[in-house]
Amino acid sequence: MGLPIPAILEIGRSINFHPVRGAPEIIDGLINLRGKVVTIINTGLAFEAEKVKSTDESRVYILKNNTELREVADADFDIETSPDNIGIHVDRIADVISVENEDLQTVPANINHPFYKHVVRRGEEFIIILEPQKMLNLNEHQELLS
Amino acid sequence: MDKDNEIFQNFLIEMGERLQDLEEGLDELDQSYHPDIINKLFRAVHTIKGGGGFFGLTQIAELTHEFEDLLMKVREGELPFSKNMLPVFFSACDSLRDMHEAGDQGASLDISKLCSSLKGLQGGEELSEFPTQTPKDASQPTPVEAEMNQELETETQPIQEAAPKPILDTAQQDTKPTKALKATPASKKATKDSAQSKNETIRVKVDLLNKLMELTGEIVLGRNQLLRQFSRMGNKSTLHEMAHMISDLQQLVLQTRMQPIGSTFTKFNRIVRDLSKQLDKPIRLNIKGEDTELDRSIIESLSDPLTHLIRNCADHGLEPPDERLANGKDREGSIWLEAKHEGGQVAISVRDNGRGIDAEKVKAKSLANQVITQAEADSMGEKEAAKLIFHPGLSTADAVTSLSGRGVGMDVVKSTLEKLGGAIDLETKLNEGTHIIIHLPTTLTIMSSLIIRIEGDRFAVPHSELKEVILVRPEDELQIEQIRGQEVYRLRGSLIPILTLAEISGVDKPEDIESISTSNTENEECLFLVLHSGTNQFGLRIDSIDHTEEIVVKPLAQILSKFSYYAGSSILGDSDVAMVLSANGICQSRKLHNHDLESHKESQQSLAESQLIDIQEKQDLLVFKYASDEQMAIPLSLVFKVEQIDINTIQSIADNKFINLEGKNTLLLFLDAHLELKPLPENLKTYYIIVPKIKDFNVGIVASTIEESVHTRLNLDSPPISQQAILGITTIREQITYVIDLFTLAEQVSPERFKTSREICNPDKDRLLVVEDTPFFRDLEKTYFESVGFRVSVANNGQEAIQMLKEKPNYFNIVVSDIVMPVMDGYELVKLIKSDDKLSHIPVVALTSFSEEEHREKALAAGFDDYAIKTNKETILHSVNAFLDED
Repeated sequence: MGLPIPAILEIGRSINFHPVRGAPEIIDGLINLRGKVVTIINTGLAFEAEKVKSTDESRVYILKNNTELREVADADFDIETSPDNIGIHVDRIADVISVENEDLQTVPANINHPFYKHVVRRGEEFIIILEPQKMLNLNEHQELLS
Repeated sequence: MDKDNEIFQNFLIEMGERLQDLEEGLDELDQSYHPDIINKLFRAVHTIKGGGGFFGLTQIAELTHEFEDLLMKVREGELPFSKNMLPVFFSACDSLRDMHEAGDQGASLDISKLCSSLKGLQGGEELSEFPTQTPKDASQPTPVEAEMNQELETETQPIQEAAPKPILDTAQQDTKPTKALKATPASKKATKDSAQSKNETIRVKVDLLNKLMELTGEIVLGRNQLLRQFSRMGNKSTLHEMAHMISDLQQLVLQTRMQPIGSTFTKFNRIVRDLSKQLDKPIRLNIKGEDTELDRSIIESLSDPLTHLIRNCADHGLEPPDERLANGKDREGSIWLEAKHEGGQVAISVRDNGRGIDAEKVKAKSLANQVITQAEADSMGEKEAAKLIFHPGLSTADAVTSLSGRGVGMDVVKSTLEKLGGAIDLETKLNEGTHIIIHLPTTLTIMSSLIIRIEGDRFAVPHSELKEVILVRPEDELQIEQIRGQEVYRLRGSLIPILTLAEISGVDKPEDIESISTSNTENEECLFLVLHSGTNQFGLRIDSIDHTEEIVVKPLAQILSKFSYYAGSSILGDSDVAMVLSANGICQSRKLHNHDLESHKESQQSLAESQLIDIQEKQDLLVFKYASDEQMAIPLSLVFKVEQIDINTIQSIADNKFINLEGKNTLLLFLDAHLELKPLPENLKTYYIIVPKIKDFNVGIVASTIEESVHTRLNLDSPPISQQAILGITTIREQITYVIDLFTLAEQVSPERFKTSREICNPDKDRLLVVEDTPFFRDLEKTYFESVGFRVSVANNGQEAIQMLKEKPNYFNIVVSDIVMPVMDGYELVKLIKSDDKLSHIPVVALTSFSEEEHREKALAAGFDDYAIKTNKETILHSVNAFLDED
């Protein structure tokens, strides 16, 4: 799966989560990012897979918030994240690829997931491009909050 | 008009701001027309008009009035906007600016011409000439020009289109004896300078202040981290010096955002005056504590809720003059608006002396709107019922205006205040008025907080919400107790709920640290915080206290915002993240209401059951043993303290044994001398001494062991063998237990002091009614009074009492009543008695276990003739006799 790089503020190791008592399981907790408190979402649970565990390879992608995003607005890239800084916990960094806009294909209708935005073909593989805004707005996906 | 007055200065600043809006708006209007711009202009002019009118600045008021009328017509579409209007607008605006800057606020300016131009435009007249553009009449300069000319001469500003004109005409000299009339350039300039130095301020963008604040927050965090990192270093003087400076910096930055609330308050003078006219009710607004400072953002958001509350007071709370006169009140209604600091928070109170809220009607309406169920309604106290007006379900206009008027949008008021971290509370009394109290934090950003640990996690609790920290040791007489599985604690006479984080968050503690805390209170120390939100109090079980720290509260991400029991998160000195708990949020999420907590819980039970149980008050008993197998109990409320003593410290004088307790020689009382009991076992090394809380009864009752203190409903049976000092027997933990009558015991020990003479009673007036729900006290009081010759009748609660009184209105000579009772409490009883013509002559004495003075005042205010403490027999008899001897 892929995320547009402009949406990412930085990538850090997945350590020192501070759990939030009472919060749904999909929220790993809060971390202190140089004085900013960032909420971390466990992506595994968002895709009905297993929870991402903290390992040597696992990382948190800290996403820019909407204000930061607008400051570096890229004219041909229209993305939104959320009003707050939110991080997503991922298994590992796979690769950095560059994709031409025309290569982005819409998600086939039989693959139905609110977070998927585009599909890109890379050789034999398909890479799913996620939509950060949908993903971060967990309040719209009550089923994930339980 | 006192021009040094702070409020006035505030108005000047505000007017300056509005003028800027006005100027900006006009510039926009010059570019292109848009209704929004007219709106903006209208608002600006309207605000200035309000202030001008308030401070009696007639010139400003007059000009803005005309200006406003014209704008209104344009806004309403009565008059099409035309570019022709612009020059007049501009000159009006400039005129206002000049008045604003003039030392006398333009009192000496002639604005008649400008006003008439404005008026002319209103009539749709195409103005062919504008004062600024074609000044034809040289001897009658327009004010704008006059001002401009002054400026030209004093400050040599180039002003276009302004031909040199004589400075101010002299025609007004006699009307205005201020310095402006002799406005020579020099004096004019001097006034300006002094006006400026008085409020030497610059306007800074709030955004900038916010960033500054944020940054300071980070610096504070950094300081905390540094202090921690270098805590083991030897010489830290530089670091400490810096730390202090950072504290100062933080204080100052906080102050930049602080504003006196006065500016918000004073505008209510006008609002109330307007309302008074509109509603045709004379209203007096009393304002206090204008200089109480609050964070700017709080003050800004406070204006609307307060306006709403004041409007409610004036509109619905206060009665029309005739009704007030008929009720024996002043013709003029009063509203009190007060702000004051209260324990780290600011309390704002809005009070009126109007008709109050009829709780029953609110209840009925809530029932009809299905906001509450019948069972809830029945168990609901008056206070809680009145608070239903804050419920969104009751906020439709017709729902409440037809009742007592309150509630329109009260839920909005409440939620606005809660967003600010505040709490709102209400007290109301029918026909006496309503009192709304708002508690607010002074600032939202940096808070001094206590860092605590619960089950391994750290949490921050702001000091402003923290009342006290209580440690309950196993040997303490007051323990955390259980009511229907819910933990409660008796804190100075009031029961407060004790919550755990697991209850609040709905998540059980992580399994791996389960051993750290258990709910077993008997063998372990138990630590809890008493938190408060408004007048609600509750305890929060914690494991330990870490330290105190200044924290910067960061708002939670949106996805977490529904967890209202967190106020936010914060980064601690060791760069760890901690959640900040919010007492307010906890109260809301746990639906805690003060006073009504127990009834609320019981409302979940079946109604019949709860009524049955409610009829008896629970009683705390201290259970102990004298000899090995005989269990005794004393009401805990009568126990002063319990001590363990070494048998060797006992000293004997003649037959009496004494012990020195905290410097007081205390007589030891061996119960076997007064009751038929087995003697104490001889092999004891230590005794327990129970010191009763009875005046002049300075003894220690000896016990071999203290068993426990129980919180139980006391079912007393009369003792099988008549023993005087025993009140009755009951079963505690499946053991027969004697409940000791301490008063009789005291009489037996020192008869001369405690035997009250039986002759003090007037034989004609000996019929006394005891109203008391607790069987224990009922019997005790009955014994008291019978022992001095009264004929005593008893009632279980106010309802029973009032029935008995009504059946035989001339029978009873005096009523002695408890205050806190189920079904009908003492306050209500006394109200009924005093409002009944046949009964009002009967003196009613309140008898209660509270000893605080405030209760006394409340009781006396409610109509009780006197007030006595249950545990003090002498004062009871004294106050009862005082009434009977009177006539």
